[in-house]
Amino acid sequence: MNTPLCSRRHVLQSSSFGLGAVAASWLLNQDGLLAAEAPVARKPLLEPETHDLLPKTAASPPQAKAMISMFMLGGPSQIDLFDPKPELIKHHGKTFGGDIKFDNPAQASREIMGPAWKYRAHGQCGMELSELLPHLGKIADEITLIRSMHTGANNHLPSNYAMNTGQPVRGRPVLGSWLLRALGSETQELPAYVALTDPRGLPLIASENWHQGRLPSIYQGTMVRPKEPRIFNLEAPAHLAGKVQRAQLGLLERMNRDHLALHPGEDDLEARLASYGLAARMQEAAKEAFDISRESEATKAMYGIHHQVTKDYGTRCLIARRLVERGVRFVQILCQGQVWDHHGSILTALPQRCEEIDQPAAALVRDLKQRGLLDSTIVHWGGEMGRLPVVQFRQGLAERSKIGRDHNTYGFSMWVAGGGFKAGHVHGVTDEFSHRAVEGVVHHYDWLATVLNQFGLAHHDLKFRLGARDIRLVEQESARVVRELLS
Amino acid sequence: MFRSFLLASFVIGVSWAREVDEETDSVTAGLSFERDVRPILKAACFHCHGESGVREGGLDVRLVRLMREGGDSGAALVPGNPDASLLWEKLANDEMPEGEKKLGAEEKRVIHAWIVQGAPTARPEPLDPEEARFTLEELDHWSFRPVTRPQVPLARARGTSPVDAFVGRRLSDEGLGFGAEADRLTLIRRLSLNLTGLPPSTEDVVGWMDDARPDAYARLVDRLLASPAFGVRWGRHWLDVAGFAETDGGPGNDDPKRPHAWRYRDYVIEAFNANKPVDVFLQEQMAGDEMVASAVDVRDAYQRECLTATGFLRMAPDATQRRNTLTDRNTAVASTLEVVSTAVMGLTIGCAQCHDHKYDPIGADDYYRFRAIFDPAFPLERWQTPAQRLVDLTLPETEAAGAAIEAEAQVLQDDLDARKRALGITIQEQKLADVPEGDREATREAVHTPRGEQTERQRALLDLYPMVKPVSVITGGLLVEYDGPSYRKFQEEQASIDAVRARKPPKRLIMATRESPGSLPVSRILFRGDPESPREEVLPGELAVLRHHGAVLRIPDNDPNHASSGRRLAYARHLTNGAHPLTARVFVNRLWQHHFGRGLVATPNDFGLMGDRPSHPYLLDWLASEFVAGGWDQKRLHRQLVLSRTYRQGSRRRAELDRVDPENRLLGRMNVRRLEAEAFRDALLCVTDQLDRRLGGASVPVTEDSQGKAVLGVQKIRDGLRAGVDAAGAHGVRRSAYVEVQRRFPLNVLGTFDQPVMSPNCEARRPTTVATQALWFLNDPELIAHAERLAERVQGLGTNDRERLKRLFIRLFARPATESEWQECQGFLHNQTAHFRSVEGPRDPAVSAWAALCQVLLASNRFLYVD
Repeated sequence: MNTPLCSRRHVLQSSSFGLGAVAASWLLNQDGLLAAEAPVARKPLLEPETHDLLPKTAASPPQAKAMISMFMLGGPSQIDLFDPKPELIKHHGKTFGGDIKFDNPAQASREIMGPAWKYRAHGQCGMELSELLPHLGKIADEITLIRSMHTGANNHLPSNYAMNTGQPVRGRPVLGSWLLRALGSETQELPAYVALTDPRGLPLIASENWHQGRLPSIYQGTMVRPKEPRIFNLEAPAHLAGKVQRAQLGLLERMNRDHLALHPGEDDLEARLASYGLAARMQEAAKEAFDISRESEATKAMYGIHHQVTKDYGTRCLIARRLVERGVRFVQILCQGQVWDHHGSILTALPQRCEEIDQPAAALVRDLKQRGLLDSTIVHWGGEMGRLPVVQFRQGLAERSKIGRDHNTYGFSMWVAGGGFKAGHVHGVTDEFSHRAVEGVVHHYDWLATVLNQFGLAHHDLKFRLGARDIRLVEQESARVVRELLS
Repeated sequence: MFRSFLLASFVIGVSWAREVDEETDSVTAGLSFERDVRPILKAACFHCHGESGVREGGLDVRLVRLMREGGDSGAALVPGNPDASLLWEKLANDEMPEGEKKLGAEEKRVIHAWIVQGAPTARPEPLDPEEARFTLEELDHWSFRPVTRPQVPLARARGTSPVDAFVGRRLSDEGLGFGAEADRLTLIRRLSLNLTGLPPSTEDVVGWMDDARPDAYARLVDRLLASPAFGVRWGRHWLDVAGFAETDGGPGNDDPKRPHAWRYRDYVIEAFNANKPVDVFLQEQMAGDEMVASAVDVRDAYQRECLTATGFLRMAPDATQRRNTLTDRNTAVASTLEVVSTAVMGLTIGCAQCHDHKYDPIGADDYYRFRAIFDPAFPLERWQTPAQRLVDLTLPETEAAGAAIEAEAQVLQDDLDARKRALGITIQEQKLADVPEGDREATREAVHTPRGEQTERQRALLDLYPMVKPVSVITGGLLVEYDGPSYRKFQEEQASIDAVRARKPPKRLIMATRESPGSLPVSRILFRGDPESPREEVLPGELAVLRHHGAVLRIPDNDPNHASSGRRLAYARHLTNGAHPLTARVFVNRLWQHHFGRGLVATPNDFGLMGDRPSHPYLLDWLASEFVAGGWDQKRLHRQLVLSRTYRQGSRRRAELDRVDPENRLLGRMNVRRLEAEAFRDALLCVTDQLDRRLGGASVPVTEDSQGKAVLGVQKIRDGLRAGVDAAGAHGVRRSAYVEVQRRFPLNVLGTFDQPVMSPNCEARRPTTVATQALWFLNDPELIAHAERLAERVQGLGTNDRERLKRLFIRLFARPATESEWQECQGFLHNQTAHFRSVEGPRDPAVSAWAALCQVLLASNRFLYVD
């Protein structure tokens, strides 16, 4: 098969042609409509597969057991945060001569814009970081900074899909769903995969960020609301709590099993049975997990929960730690919309975004470390793209306060800590203008393959049978585990 | 920057050319450029090497001849010799294509083998590459070809319906047969929910079981098709396709309402109930304004209906009320065209907005010819915002009654405003009195000077004495701070004035589509989709691929005596002339989809090359031709489908079927389906005897309660802050089709059960199974209230628990409880009654136990799924 396996067309074709050679040939011969298509032989699944979230053993000993992804939708500017380039400062205001691709040509310019903020070396490793991220600087010796990310899919949706599902197309399962599929969950009392959303609103493409695509629906992420009640209906009303509800659940399960017996193999009915078990246990466990009131004042202060600017993100980071502590496999902390998409007003908006997340994100790494959880938890901070080294004029050339940077998916930065990644390490190089990754390029599929590797999973073996063929998180033959990132 | 048209392109994905079988070499036998190689190059290379006049490195790869001629680096292709071919070299080592998407191993294998075979073409190539933009293979894609009238296969059994003959033939060719017919109780529940969106009543079930007449089933079908609930159910399906939403959508955090969109919803539901012929239904939605005189007679119901129908073209997200840039306008137009093309034609024409469609034979010029049909109603330069384009069809007497009430209100308002202002002046004077005498007169002068004319010194004074504000500011938002008691008294007075105004009979405002009279806009191709880069002029016209198949679209010259160009009407008639290859196929497929859980084409909005192939192409064509021949009679088509044996099968999986066809494409059984969000809520209201079945009218509003939950009702505002929700009361039990559809904030129960977000429309519902739904069933106050209500009702259903349970099961599941279910439930009631007796509670312990039981039954899969 040469088709990237999970385009929607593929999914559908696998169903239309998953009929055995005879059926397919009937189509071909009788209708003459499909002359260009070849039949595909398949081995039928004799036993319907069952799906659960019980913990599974990885193929090889895993370094990581859990992952927290702080996903920065919109594309933070690597130029202003992570990737200092003396050449850019030198050529600030001059014309960019190289090849460049704009998402928004109508407002584009070739005027080079150096970083508006200063860089400084941090930690023993001497990692250079922008003054906008002072707290990150303090944990520089704990992180690996990747300066050579690349997806090449030059808009938010495709690049987001690429980073999370392995391909720049809609409809595929996300990384978190794949991890559940392969490893199940260490807890049966909390959702195995949690998406923590922003009080300001849902992220771009909302639930697609935690959707299981064509994997069974139990692998879908559970969205957690940004304010209390974090999950609606978590508490039973007083007159039903306890004994009555247990009896209700027992009766419900027996009734649903009777119904399932009439429909053996209906995946959806099975999933719904499982969802009740989870819901009942969640009621107890989730309340406790989301309750940060018993955390020490020092911990809360470390996350910035006492300050209005950092309170929300800090709370969510702290909840993420509590979830991982309790066995949750995968946590996404998501921003509203695409708040890092600084086409205009980058000079004011970028510092605001940084201020909101810098202290909480660094606190998360420190906190995990002091609790001995960092070694087994991958902490990821990054978006689906970076930005261009030239000015985008949002409101015409005269309006210099409304300037920003357009998309750049050819070379951008993100950082990762724990889970067996190197500490105090910088990987990869972009060209002298921080436009394209040129050394140690990490494609989105390399990144995903590396994450899987840390969970003890080989990316070419992690697959799911869909009709006539398998789908994989990592479809690229050229994908590789980036060993240089690993300790 | 996010652009909505991209959504459409990424649905298409980056999948390459064609299927190949890795286990044989049949793939690489007898290759041709047009069939095998060109689709790969088209998706990966044309954009920079050939299309829209772009020839990087001087190379055009659209023809074999041009590749042999090569570009700046010499010949790109040496037939028979891949190693000497620059094309192969660049592709083999992934130097090309640039960017992340490289060719896969199989594609490379095809290209390599093709060069080795001498780079053959299927036929001589034209001189002009523009003529070879689309290959015969693309042009001949099944859905572009005319609809045929296939012979109905011969069936062994007499009286076999054509639907069953086609489906049965496919099954028997696989050595399979139809499954057993579902039992009668399953059938009535399935049929009721499918056709009306409501479960059958107990009387329906009993009557049906007693009806021994041979045509009982057909009678049941006819009765349900005649029910007004039918239009609500099937109208709602069409509203998904039309992208019906009652908010503007677009960027930003707010999502302003469209308070008049419901009239289009009513039009759709009425059209389904009236069995309006579908050709007329489509014509009215696309061009109803051109079907009636430009000066609409507000008393003429038909004229109003035609104008209301054009709301179809106004449903897409449209941000221009808030941000009206050229890009926003262009985005609104693009979304509208996306709705039209996917809904009516099942084509993703929108993907050709920036460049030729990557997979379908649709050029960017095709897109702009298509768009030119709509341009007179959507002129980018003379744009009207949504508010400006509302058409007022209020009756004169309504108008007069409203004016009288307004005059009454205005008297009160003037009086209130005068007293407010007087208070403002008093307050301002008081504050000025607090200013030290030396500065007082200067400050007074400053605050009376308009802001733009203030001197620096005056601004400094006002900064120094911030309590001194203009009267308008004092009586505006700050009054509560200056004088709380007066503020609240004024608020109360204002509320009573508003109450007077609220008595005004509502105006009849229509979200219509009309052309503004005057000169037609010149339609141009927008280079790479950018509205700032108009290029060559285009005239309205049919897609080239359909012209290739003989379609002739005649667009009238603009008649200066008529207010409208007539373009959309001509096009709508063309689409519904019976010969158009897509319109009938696409519509018929949608009906099939909602009866069987999946269309014969599983991608109902995409019949293009990247869409699904029909599982039963002959059947699809037979149905489409039959539909047109029968006068686009929708209810007749429903009858054909639901009377079939195919439809009446049981839904149980069978091992022999699952081995060959686990996805049930062959239809050897019915699919088990979960109720959609709206049907689920309606069923809850129905079995608890609450449902308000009235048709039509403004939507029941949705708002946020103090917990952040989306509930029915209106937000109360006090002192500028939210002060709780005025519940919708009796309106809260209307059918879900009458609940306000917001893009950002769906009603909690509907959102929980996967009501889609319209962006811009929805081709198929995507049910999820998540723990939040289970928690809803266990703990949500709304469900618990339904269960308690049901428990009260149950008490009157019989004299003993056995009788009650029997009737309850029929009401909920359309079948009586089995003996073992009775035992289970009886045990449950016994234990829970004992429990509730042991604790203090406001309710009869037995009724509490019944409520707990009803909750379980409402949460059970038997209620939530259709077998």
